[in-house]
Amino acid sequence: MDFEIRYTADQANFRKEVAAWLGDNCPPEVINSEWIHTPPAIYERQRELGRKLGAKGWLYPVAPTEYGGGGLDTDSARVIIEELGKLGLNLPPYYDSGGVLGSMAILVWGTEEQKQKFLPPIYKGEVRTWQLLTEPSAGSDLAGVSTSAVRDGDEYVITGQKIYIGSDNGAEGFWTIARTGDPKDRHKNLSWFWIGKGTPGLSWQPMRLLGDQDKNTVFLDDVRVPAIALVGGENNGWKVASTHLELEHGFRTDIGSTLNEHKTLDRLIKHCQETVIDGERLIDRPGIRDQLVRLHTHAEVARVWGMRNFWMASQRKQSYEGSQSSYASKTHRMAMTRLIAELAGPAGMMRNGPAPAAEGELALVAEGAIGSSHGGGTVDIQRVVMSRRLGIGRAEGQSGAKLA
Amino acid sequence: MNLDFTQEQDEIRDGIRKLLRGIADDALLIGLQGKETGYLPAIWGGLSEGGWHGVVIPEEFGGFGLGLGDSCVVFEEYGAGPLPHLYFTCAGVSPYFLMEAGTDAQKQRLLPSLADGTMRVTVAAAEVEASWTGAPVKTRLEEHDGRLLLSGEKMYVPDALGATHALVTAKTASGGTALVMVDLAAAGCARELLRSFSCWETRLAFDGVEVSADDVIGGIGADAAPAIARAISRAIPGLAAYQVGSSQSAYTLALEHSRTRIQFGQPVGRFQRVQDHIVELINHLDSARWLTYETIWQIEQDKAGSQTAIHTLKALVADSHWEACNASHEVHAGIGADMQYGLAKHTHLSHTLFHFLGSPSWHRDRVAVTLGW
Ligand SMILES: Cc1cc2nc3c(=O)[nH]c(=O)nc-3n(C[C@H](O)[C@H](O)[C@H](O)COP(=O)(O)OP(=O)(O)OC[C@H]3O[C@@H](n4cnc5c(N)ncnc54)[C@H](O)[C@@H]3O)c2cc1C
Ligand SMILES: Cc1cc2nc3c(=O)[nH]c(=O)nc-3n(C[C@H](O)[C@H](O)[C@H](O)COP(=O)(O)OP(=O)(O)OC[C@H]3O[C@@H](n4cnc5c(N)ncnc54)[C@H](O)[C@@H]3O)c2cc1C
Repeated sequence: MDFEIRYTADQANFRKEVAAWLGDNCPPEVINSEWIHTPPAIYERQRELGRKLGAKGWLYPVAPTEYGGGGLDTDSARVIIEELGKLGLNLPPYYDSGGVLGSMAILVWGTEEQKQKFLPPIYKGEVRTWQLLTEPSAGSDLAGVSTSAVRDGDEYVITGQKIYIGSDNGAEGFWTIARTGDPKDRHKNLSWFWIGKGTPGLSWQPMRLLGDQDKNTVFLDDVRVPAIALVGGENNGWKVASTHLELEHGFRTDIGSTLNEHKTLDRLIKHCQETVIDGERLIDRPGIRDQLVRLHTHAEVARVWGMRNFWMASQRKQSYEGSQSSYASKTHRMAMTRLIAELAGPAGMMRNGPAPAAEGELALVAEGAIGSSHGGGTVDIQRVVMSRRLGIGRAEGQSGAKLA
Repeated sequence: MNLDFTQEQDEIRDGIRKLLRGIADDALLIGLQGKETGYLPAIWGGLSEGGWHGVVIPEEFGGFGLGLGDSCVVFEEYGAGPLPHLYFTCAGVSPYFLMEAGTDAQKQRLLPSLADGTMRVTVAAAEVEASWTGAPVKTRLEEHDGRLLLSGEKMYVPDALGATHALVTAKTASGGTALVMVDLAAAGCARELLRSFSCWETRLAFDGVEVSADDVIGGIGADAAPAIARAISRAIPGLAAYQVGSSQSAYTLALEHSRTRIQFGQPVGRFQRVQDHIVELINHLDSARWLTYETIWQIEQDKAGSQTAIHTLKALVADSHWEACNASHEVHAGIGADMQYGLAKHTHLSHTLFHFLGSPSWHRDRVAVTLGW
């Protein structure tokens, strides 16, 4: 086994090229800027960087070049992700889960014409995309959505309501699943639609969730989309969705996200090293030390699982491991929150005032932990997926969904 | 990056697996439970024939000289049964003590006998008031009228009733630590099986047992403590692999049971509460598995953080093996508690190994120290 990504000389040169390019093109105010709750002026600059990356094929580096992607290998993509990471940025440098997840679904299930039409705007950063899945009466049970799509000539008319969607600062691209068949034909009555920029009938109302998450209620009032917007064929939407759910349940071709675990922990450790009470550093108290090592161990497991998943996904061998990582990181974050309060005291939960622990960063993580334990599937749903994949109580396990 | 095993490792696994299926099947291992010792000539001899006792011993001393990763493939299979921990200790722990602490002459003399299975060497470090790694030991090695005598008591020794020899830690007059090879048949040496929620943990008592200068590993006057610490670190990945193999079996049993046990008209694995036990089980298993593999790789690559990784690994695996077995019991309920079923031998092993080579809390402290906190 070899746990290290060995970069070729070409990739090492590519790293220099990326670093130099980012030095020239990344606006200073974007460096270390937030993903959520982003001030509009900063958001505009993030998008500007996104379009520049997109023009080079670096916004979606592994996506095929014929649709505007970079056509790069996954290791080169990691180079870009790592270099952006050094600037405190993700790829894309703004929230675009709809683009990351939806583009994969289109790539796997779309016709040539659909790929030509829908993918370039995503890959080039011209649109930022929201995924419109959850409804007031259908969350975990995504297959039970009641938003409907009715064929009318060369168009489909979509009507319904979605909730907990997207982010602040709006979006230009959207996709959704809606019911096109008989309510009784569960999993065989759904269709997957792309909804382009400026489509009439689509509107949203902001909602603020715990931990400063900006989400929206989205209304679809007789939204008319052309027949070409139907991806994967009528009543085949559940299969299309399985592709992006696979990604959302923990399989990414990057492993950058798993480093967040260590980031917060490192901040907490630093706080315990720097805080002296009664002449003793917090970290020198055996109880605190022991707790921190336990968290360190969790974070190490998360890191190694992240590498394992990266490897599995690159070999297209993924099974239950994505949901396992997702479950672990959701529950780990909650445990960390509890420990922040315990170790850093009330200051650990403060974001301002004279003495917020770790400049308020710990508070931010703690606040986000609960909400992020639901997004992309609850901890219970992660276990449901794992159980199916492992074949618990079933003759055999189910295999992973189709990825491009 | 490549997280597949090498073809050679796959072949090693096939080899040991096939052998163990023949000489140590489940019925045999279930029958061993509750016996005075886990040593069984038929199993031991079968392993001797293939040279398996010498997997970590270099070729120049009569062993296979396998690399760390390759030897851990073998120990993972040892855990699957599991083979009693005497077999693991003899092959995966004692050799490192000799390799780290022994003089060249001692290695020449002793290691070939470990490799071919003529000596079954266990290790004796802990005492009533001393752990593997903590408080100073009270067992003493002293010179009386030109004779070297060993006196004291050792606790939690892996299966001394099945071993021929023990490597014993003792204090010397100079205050240093000596590592002594003791023939357990020697006069003044008594062994006793401890009854516990573990397996084949024994007490050794030395009442002025005479040893020769040759038996003092590293020579008289050498302080063996640093070598012992190194040996423990070298043995931990193999121990972890051994426990991963055992945890995997606890998982396989649970998964199979979830499919075949019908209650309330359906396989019990259809109940989410049962699923949750199995999910926790595989989370523990996979934590241990992948940390083991990565630690092995870190050591092989001589990575800067490998010492921290070793301590992290021992602390984690002690916990995860224990919890994996518990979870499997929850899935099985009554039948898992039946000693004839085959799960209990894993559970006992997980308890036995919990403090072996240092307790988890001690290793967690070493994590903090090596990280420079
Ligand atoms: C921060 C955040 C961001 C989000 N972003 C988006 C987004 O961008 N787009 C989008 O479409 N949605 C988004 N969501 C919605 C998210 O996907 C849903 O909240 C989630 O899938 C759960 O659905 P629900 O809230 O309706 O809970 P419910 O499905 O009503 O669940 C309630 C409880 O029942 C449990 N439960 C349900 N079914 C089962 C089962 N089969 N077995 C065991 N337990 C079960 C759940 O685990 C939970 O404990 C977001 C949510 C949050 C909090
Ligand atoms: C030490 C001991 C003493 C005992 N003493 C007695 C005694 O004196 N008299 C006597 O009659 N029996 C006795 N029993 C038997 C005991 O009552 C059963 O073991 C127990 O009821 C569980 O049944 P089972 O072992 O068949 O497990 P199963 O019922 O097969 O359960 C297997 C798994 O499925 C789960 N499960 C089953 N149904 C559900 C459900 N609806 N929802 C969620 N999970 C479910 C269980 O929790 C378990 O995890 C004893 C057992 C032990 C271990």
